[in-house]
Amino acid sequence: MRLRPADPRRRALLIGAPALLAACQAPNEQAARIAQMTTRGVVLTVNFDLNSYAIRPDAAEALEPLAEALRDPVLEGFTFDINGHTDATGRLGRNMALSELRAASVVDFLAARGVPRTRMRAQGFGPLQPLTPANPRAAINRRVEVFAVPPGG
Amino acid sequence: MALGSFALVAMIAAATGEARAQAARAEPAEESAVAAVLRRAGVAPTRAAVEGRDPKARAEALDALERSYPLPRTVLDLENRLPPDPNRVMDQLGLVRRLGAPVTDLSGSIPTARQITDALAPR
Repeated sequence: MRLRPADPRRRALLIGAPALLAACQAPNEQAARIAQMTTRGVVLTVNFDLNSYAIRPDAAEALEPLAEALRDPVLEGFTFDINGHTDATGRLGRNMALSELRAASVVDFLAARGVPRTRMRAQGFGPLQPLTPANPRAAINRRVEVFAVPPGG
Repeated sequence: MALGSFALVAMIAAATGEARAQAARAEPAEESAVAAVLRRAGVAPTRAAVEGRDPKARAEALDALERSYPLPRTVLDLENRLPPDPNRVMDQLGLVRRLGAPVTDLSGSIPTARQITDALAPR
């Protein structure tokens, strides 16, 4: 049996096929990547003295890894909500103010370690989002939550 | 010699003037987040108030910030308990909530940077 020489048009089509396939797949892959970019959060323990928003040395120790994480290239383009939470012990107004200034202190700490200020927002929730609604005065409710918000999120 | 000294002085003056002009044109230094909150509350962002290490300055800052919230006194004065409708209070303060976002609990210990990145990064 004699083999026919390949049709040049067919050969061009075969050569171009992978590129065509890649071109078709690219938007799908990009769409999938964007779909996977959901907002995610972490709960962290950052200790403060009573009625204080000054960063303690032990809190700084806990915040160093956070600064390193937020500078990671994998989170490039993300913005970050830095949310302060208290328990319900004491006056609501004082707890709202404390949580806001504590979150702002955390933002300042992170900015001093290279996380761009323009990518961070400090918010103080006071005791309004307790982890244990049945016991809003529990210590577990004192925390910092960080949300990484993808571009356009 | 005298002319040379004069020329040197003139060059230094010109360079200094240019440096000043450049400094004036430069973007203002970014304000700290604490300073911005204090300013919004009508508190001068002194070093003592911003660092929060001085009890008197700290108390004044907290009092002023409390007063700046657009909430009724009856809500601000609630003691040891939550308001009947916390969501309404959060809405009044313009607090952004990320409802439904997956959250990883890393509390209770000091997580590594890798643990935090893994929890926040796209999967």
